[in-house]
Amino acid sequence: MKTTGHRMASEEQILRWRVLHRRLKGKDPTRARFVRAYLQVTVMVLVLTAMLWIPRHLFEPVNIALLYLLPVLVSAVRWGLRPAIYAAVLGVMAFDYFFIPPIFSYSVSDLRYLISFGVFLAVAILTAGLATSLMHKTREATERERITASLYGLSRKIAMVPDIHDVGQAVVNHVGETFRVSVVMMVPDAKGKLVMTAQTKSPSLSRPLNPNVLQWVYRHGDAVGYGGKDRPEILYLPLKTEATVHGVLCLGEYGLDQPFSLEQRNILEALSGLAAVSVARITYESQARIAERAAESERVRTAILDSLSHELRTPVTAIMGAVGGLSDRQVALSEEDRQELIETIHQSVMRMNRLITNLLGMVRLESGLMHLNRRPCDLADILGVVVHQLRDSRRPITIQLPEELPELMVDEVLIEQALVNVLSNAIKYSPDHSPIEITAIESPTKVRIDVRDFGVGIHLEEAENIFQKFYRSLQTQSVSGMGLGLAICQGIVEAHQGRVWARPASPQGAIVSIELPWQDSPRDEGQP
Amino acid sequence: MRILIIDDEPQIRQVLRVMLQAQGYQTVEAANGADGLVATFTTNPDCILLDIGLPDLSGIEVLQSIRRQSEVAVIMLTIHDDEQEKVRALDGGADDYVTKPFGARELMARVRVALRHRISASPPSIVKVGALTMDFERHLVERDGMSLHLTPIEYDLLHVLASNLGRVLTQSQLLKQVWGETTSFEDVHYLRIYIGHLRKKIEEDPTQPQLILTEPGVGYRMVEPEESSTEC
Repeated sequence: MKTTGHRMASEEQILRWRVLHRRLKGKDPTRARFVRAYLQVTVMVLVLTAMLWIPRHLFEPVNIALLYLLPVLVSAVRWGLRPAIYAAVLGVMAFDYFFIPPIFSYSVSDLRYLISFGVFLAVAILTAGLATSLMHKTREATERERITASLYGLSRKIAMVPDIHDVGQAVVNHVGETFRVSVVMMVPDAKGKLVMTAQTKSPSLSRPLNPNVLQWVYRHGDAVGYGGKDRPEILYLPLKTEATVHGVLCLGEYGLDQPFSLEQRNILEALSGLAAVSVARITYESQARIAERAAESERVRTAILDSLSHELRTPVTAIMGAVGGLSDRQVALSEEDRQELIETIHQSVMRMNRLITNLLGMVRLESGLMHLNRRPCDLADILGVVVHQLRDSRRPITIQLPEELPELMVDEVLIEQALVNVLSNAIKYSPDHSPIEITAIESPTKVRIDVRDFGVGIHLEEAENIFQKFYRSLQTQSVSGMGLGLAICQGIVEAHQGRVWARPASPQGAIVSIELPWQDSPRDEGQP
Repeated sequence: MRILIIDDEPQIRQVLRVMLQAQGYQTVEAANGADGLVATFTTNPDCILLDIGLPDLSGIEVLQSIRRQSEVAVIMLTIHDDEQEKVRALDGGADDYVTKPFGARELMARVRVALRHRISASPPSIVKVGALTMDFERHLVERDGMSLHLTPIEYDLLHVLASNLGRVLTQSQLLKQVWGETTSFEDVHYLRIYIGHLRKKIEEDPTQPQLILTEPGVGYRMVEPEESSTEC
């Protein structure tokens, strides 16, 4: 492990922190552990020698030599190759000294023993090597398995989550549970400033995160362990994919002089990599959505402007033409033509007036300036006024009402406008002289008003869209209009806690229903 | 007959002048409230068309100043979306109102009605509206020659509406004239019920009334039934 001292310019005191380089190989046995291993090997060989000394006459030297392989194997598995070799050498020395005649001397009477020693050492070292590498492989496999399991667990939690906060919470919870520490995830907001996106509930960090370290990690993409002998360590891990850093994951803290182990850091690295991929996915998704929305609203705005200028200019053009014809003395107009031109002016003016009323209504709805002047009203009366307003259409309009309806607590003028819009829509999209039917159906809590026409009707899948402002049905593009009437109707009805919907009628035509709550409990309609 | 036009829009004044002069009325014009008040007392008009939104004074203020001195007929020119303002103007002494944008026919009808009511102080004792004949001297109401049976309150209500034929009456005006001074907001409820009863007796189709029209948020108006015509 490499420890690099950094001094942060803005820090008033020098704090020790270290940059953790990626993928540090090798173990980190401390010196104390190292010495202890050799001592234990020595003791093991001594004990074995003592145990073999007593019944030494029962054994052939070959058997004894085999038994000295035991500490070598144990050392290889427990402490690795070097202590194992040490055990082998020590074993040969003890064997020679205590069991090979002349006893208590390193001199060898039979030179064949030297060959035996050589073979013993070779076998011991080979076995030790095999055992050590086996042990390493097992350990690596176990670690890999742990990492895989942890990654799998996390990936299952965050794979399809669309919200950055939910992903953040899943990541910190998973990491926090795995390592039993507090975890904080920092992800840049829209302005690029790192903000806390998620943190584990308990325990929380005992000291605040260092913003300078956070920034450094975010900018450089290297992991940093911040802390030391006198303070518990906090890990700052970058959430990194390829060359981009998407945020910082902070972990802390075990306690004094208890840094995160290499194994833990390997798992953490994998986890933060996975988290980074998820954060990146969400970031890109939301960027794509924003771009899509911007394009969409651009398209809608252009369409609205086109439609608005068309809707306003058409009647103005008609009026200008008609006025020009009427005022030109050189054009001899028959009385019939004059009447026709005057009728054109009249129609155009009415059309502009309708459009202006609807545009103003929309503005009032959108700006929240519409306040309800609720008063007890008579639905029959309102319907009468609405039909009277549209008498010019010369349609057979029938109204069917239950006898003695209770009073409706609504804004009379606004509900009237809503109904006029629905009714003029019905007139607009049905052939001349076809009937319109208005029916009211009461229930204890509300009243429903159905307006049915026998016109082009609507498709079921369009039924909701027609209440969106500026929406025009595809099958009625040829009929002029801005697509405001029903949107205003919906705005007014919803302000009254009611709802409005449309459905196709059979065999033809459409039904638009407005449902309004009575608001006041129906009153007794007795004679005074 | 002299008519004073108080409106700050020159185009509106021009159109009104042409329309009124074509009907044989003399016109006087004022572009703001102060000039309008001066003109009211110097030219002594028979009817005033008063815009509710003037640059200097509000139309209501001008109306109040006029009413302190004169009983001249006043018709307010209003915009569509303020019913309470209309009620305030009517209760404050205005004879009627027309809503911008308005048609020539509608305006002329209002002017004629207002002038008629100002000239003849006592309403005629026999009023004929559509198929309805009302003889208030003999307390008789007939529809197509058939006598109708009305309750006393229905009769009083019809009397008030018919006496103000063509003119709008606010709810509180109707309540005062039919029930007397002791009226409250609650009574609007009964007013509505009696209008409903009355319509059932006198209207051909009570769901689509032709004689007693509702002015939403304002009140009621009794009118001659329209022959179906699209002219404005």
